[in-house]
Order: sequence, then structure tokens, then C-alpha cells
Amino acid sequence: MSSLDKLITAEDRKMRLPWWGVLCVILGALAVLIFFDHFGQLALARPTMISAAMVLIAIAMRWRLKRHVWFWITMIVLTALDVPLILFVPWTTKWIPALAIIPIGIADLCLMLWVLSVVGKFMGEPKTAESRPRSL
Amino acid sequence: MMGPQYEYDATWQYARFDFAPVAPSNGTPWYKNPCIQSALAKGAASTALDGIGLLPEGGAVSEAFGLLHGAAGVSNGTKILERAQFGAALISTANAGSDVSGSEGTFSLRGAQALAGAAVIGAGLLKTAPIVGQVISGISVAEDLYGTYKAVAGCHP
Repeated sequence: MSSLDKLITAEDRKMRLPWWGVLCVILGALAVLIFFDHFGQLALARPTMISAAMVLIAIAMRWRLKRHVWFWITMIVLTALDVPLILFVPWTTKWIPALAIIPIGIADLCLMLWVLSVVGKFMGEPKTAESRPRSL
Repeated sequence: MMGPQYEYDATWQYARFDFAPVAPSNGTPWYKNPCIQSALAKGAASTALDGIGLLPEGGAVSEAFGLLHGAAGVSNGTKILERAQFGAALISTANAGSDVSGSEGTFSLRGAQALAGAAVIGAGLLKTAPIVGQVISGISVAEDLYGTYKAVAGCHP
């Protein structure tokens, strides 16, 4: 079993959005784009949405840890670390294919799941990645 | 008395010259405007490529195939999606090389190669976390739609 398989379990791989979930993502993204464009910060819209989406997916994949305070503290810290990344990196508004962004998103997700796994071990949660996560 | 008359005439002439190119009176429909056609074509191409990630194997589309054609349909749907994703990676590579970046700039050859490589990796990673592909593709499709809207709106100064 590779380290990627340990981080993203078989149950995680089965998670999918229903058609109405995809529609909500598209409509929500349109609203965010209009909001950022209104303030002249359209370049920040994409990294903001992708960072927020990866945080939400990580929370959904490890939803069974929701009763642990350390889980929420870790997620808040990881989210806070994304903020300077969004603000200080010069992002582009050029078209970039979604397939090229997916590896970056998965790397971000894997990093968060790995941090959760490590923190979980320290907090006495040895099977962070192995138990059954909740599907969307 | 002559001053105001001269200014009035000049203003009227400027107004006539300014409005002539903005409001064409030759009866050409909006969809035959080359600027709008170009913006719509780019938007359609980028939306189609970005929409590929919305179709993970075994996902909603395969289920739809299954509903229509039974269990064999699921298998066929999955194969079709795999081919579509592979094709999209190739098309994406080709398009990155020939610049489909839109009106805000072009990619260098090195940038296009990097994008193409990342796209191929991304296509392979779709199976690892299909939900990530769905969400990122959804965001990208929204960006394409909004970009197309802005490009079309920019055709009317």
C-alpha cells in the first residue's frame, strides 16, 4: 500500500458529488467570481475557491473526527496558512485547464490529510486514515 | 453670437462621428460579430475541456448510462469517459501549445509544456480523488462561463 493509498482511502475515492452538488459548485463559484470582480481582485478568486474547496473536502473526508477539538484547531491552522499563500503569491487570470489544477488540489488535500494523520497520532487517534469516512 | 453656434455644430458632429461605429446600422445580427464569435468559440472550447473533470468514472454520468442501458451501459459509459478524459488531456496539451489562454496574455512554450504535463498528471489523478476533480472542474467551468460573458460584453464598447 503506497503512502497515497494510506492518506486517501478506498472510501475517500468513492466520494462523489451528485449532479445538484456540481450545479451548486458552479453557481457558488459564479457568485464568488462576481464578488471578487466587483472589488477588482478577480485574480484572487481562483486560489481562494480552490483553497476553500480543499479544506471543505478534507473536513468531509475526516468528518468522523468532528467531535475532537484538535481536529478543528488543526483545520483552522491549515486554513490560516492558506491565507498568506493566496494574498502574497502573484496569481494569474489566464485560462489554466482544470486538469492542470487538479494535481495541485490533490497535493494540497494530501498535505492536509497527512497533517491530520500526524496530529491524530499524537492525540491518540492511531487510525485516522483507516476508518470509514462519511460520504457526501 | 458666432462662438456658441460653432461649438454647437462641433459637438453635434463629434456626437455623430462617435456613435457611427458603436451602433452599426447595416443590420448584421449580434451573433455574426467576429469578436463575439471568437469569444464564444474560446469560451466553448475551454468550458468543454474543463468540464471533463465533472465526469469521473463510475460517477453520475456512468449511472445515467446504466439507467438507460442496464449494467452493460455502466461499463460502456466508464470506457467512454476514460477515453474522453484521455482525449481531453491530449487536446489540452495541443491547445496549451497553440495558446488558448484568452485575451489577457499568452503562455510561453515552457509554460505550455508544464501545463500539458500537469494536465496529463491531473487526468491520471482523477481516479485518486474524483470529488477533487469534480469540484475543481466546477470552479473552472464557472470561471470559463464568466470569462466568456466578460469577453462578449467587451465586444460592445
